[in-house]
Amino acid sequence: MKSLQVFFKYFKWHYGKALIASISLWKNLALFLFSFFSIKTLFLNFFTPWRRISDSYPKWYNFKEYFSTLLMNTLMRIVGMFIRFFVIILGLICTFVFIIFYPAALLIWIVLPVVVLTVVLVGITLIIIG
Amino acid sequence: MDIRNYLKQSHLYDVLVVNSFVSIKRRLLLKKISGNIIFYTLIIMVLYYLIKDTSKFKIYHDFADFLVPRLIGLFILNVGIFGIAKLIDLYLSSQYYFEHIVLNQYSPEELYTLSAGKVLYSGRKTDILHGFFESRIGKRVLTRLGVTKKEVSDFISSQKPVYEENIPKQKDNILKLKDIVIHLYENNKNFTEFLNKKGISKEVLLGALSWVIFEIESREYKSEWWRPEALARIPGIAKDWSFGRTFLLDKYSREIMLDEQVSSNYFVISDRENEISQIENILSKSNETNVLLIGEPGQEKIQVIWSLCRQIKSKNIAATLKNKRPILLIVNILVSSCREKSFFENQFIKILDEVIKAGNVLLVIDNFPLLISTATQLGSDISSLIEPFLTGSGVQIIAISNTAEYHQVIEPNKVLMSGLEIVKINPLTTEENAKIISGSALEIEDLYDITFTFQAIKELAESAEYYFPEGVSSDKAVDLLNEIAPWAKRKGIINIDKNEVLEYIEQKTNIPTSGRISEKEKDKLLNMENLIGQRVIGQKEAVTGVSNAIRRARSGVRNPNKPIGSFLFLGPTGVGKTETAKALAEVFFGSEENMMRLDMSEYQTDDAMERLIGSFKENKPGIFSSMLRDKQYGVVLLDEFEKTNKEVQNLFLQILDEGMFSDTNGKKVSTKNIIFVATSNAGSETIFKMIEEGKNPEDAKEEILGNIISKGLFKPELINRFDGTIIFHPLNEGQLKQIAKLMIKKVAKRLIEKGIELKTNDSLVDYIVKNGSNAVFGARPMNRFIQDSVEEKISVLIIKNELKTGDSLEFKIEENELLPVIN
Repeated sequence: MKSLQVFFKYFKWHYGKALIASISLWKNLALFLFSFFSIKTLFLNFFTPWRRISDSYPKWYNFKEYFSTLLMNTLMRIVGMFIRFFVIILGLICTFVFIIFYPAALLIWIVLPVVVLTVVLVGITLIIIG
Repeated sequence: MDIRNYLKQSHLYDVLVVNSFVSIKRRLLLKKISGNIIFYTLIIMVLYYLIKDTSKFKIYHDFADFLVPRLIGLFILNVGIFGIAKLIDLYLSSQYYFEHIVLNQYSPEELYTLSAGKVLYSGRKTDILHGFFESRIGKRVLTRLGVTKKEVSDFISSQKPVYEENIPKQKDNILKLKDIVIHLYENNKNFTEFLNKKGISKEVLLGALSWVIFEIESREYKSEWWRPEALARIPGIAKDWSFGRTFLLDKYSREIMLDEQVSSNYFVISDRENEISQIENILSKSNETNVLLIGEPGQEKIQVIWSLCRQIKSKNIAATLKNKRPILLIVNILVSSCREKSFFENQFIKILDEVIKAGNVLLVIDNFPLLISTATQLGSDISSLIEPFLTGSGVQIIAISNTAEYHQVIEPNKVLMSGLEIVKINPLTTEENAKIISGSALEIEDLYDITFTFQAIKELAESAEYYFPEGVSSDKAVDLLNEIAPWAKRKGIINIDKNEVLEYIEQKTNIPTSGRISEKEKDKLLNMENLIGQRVIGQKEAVTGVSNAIRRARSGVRNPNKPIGSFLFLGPTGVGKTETAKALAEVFFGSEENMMRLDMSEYQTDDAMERLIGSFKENKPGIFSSMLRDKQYGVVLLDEFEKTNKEVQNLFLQILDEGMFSDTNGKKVSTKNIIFVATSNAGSETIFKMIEEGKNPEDAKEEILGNIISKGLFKPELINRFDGTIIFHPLNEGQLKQIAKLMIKKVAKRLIEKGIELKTNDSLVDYIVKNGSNAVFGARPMNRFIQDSVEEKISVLIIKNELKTGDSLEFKIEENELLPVIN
């Protein structure tokens, strides 16, 4: 009777407190991935030149140098945008995949007690019967 | 109330049942065995599938048919067992209530914490005392107190269980392990006696208990990697090239809010309430809201910032600071990248502009004096750069500085001083330092496979402060901890107790600590008079006085806040004052080289103090302060002490009374591990006069001292500060002969190394006494005379090759002339 009570308490925890904690873990890990790939920061600095490599513009009447600086700075912005774009996409994909697939992990958690007990029983049966 | 009934009232009871059935030890074993079986069955099955179709294996097919399904069964079964053990781990871990980590709140319906429950559960069939001694956590506390397993089992087997007893009173609304331990200590006489016999006080008991809980909780806490604070500390892959809106600031700084020490209250060593409230008040003002945080070199200053960050995070702070973002500007990185004045100024101004634009940044500058001196070297004036920002309300700065550098670099700068308000950091208490090193000790223990007792940790914290007075105690204590672990490992010591710590410190510093006194040392201490008396002739009172001081120091009876000993030696020249100081250095500190000498007649002029403790104007360190920093223990001989000026004598009033003084930069210099010997010829005339009259000068000590005071040589309060004023007598002929013999022995010892024997005879001794001493200078000229006569003659003989290895030499005296006779 007492051991049944212990089992009951365990299942109450497994499908109650632990399940709720797993759901908040879903949120924590998704936010972590978002932050790990610096998605927000990269997005806010999307058009900044790569590594902030940029030259100061000369006087406007020096057309040749002015346009050469403009070209250089534009190029660095494009390089920056290009790299940031890929990191943002990679980060979003990872976060998205995690968000989609985490419920599968939750499902495993839900069936885990049954699976573990079944595995033990199957193991014993195989050892005995062969 | 019956313990069992009490236990059952909480929902934790079932957890305790599970825990007792599959304890952590059993779970670990279960996981290890099942893990190994999973691994090996997997390997066997892979091998089987690789070789099953080979011709040689075909003959074993029947056996394989029988074995393989069973192997698969074993594999699957162990996967299940491993899974169960892991689930139980998770279940029990989630029930753990942190007693130190205040982040975890208890539910109002809880009766006791899991740790307290474990002790009560162990004692459910006996009593709380048995529960404590038999529970895993109780045993751990006793191990931390240095109590051996045998002592535990001997004690507990002699104790009859009480069966029915009162449940301990709880301090908070939940029963904690600390309540149980206090209950046992206050109500169980046998338990208290058992601990007291082992020298364990209530304070030490509770300290060890806190440490054990700290140990469990730190492991539990660190295992929870999924907490948002733990995840936030993992750096992002694109952070360093993402170029945020505070690009320059990010480049040279660190987001201090993300430090592990801020994330959890677990790392709270000291609340630093006083310092935090001062900082809060300054930063909450509308203008000139900048702080200059001053402290000794070490971690203490950043610990204050961490405490401030914790308060900002918990929103338990003034409204104006609630959403602040403290950023630590790492000056070393900034200055190492700036080689030109214009670049430096440009970067610095841009950083401050970014801080203004960000709006919520609280800029913490970690090594402010370095920033100022680098700017000066580059030809820039930091005060003119920073002044507009300091006076406005756009930037809030906390500048950090060491005390010495503050006096040197910041204090003379009026602009900075008017823009920054000073907050001084008080040093941590020994208990707080012990708490810091107890955390580090856990990592060291894992690394070296050793165990520290709580008393060892406490001793480390106390010794760091006492024997290594330079710098911040917590840093020195951690350094000591890092040094003692490999030392103990090399010596094969597994359990490090207080005595091992003292032994190590004695080895490191040569200061005899009051730890374990070996038989050899015991003999030495008890025969101190004879040992010093072998070198110092005819000065019984002096020898007894210094011997007593050494014994007091070694036994730990002395006042720890004063120098080990201080003596004023009065008497004529050449009677053994310096020799006594040398003997003291050799006997107490192991070598004559541990005697430092200051000729005080050189410190008579007005600049004497500056030369001794340093000059602020010239930024020169003092001879005396530097000498004591280089060597923090030994004998300091203050020769001709009466000749120094009054200001210096006043400095010694403080030194002899408090065991420390401050140098010109305000840095404290400790003299707690020093024996001071001040010598003076003052009163010699009176002493001679008394001897002539056939009186014992010791009987008229008061008269001699009165004479000295009336002449204004020493103030009465200075004489009273010395542990002993010792009168040295002029030496009589017999004593001079003994000294002469000792000196000849020294020469003979040196010659023996060359294989030459020097024979001593009475006529040689009489000759040396007659020519090498006099009434005014005592035995002082004797050494010189032996050099000029005896040693000179020997050296000539050796050079002429008349005196060779294996020869024996003797001196005869004819017509007051030394004549060498070689055999």
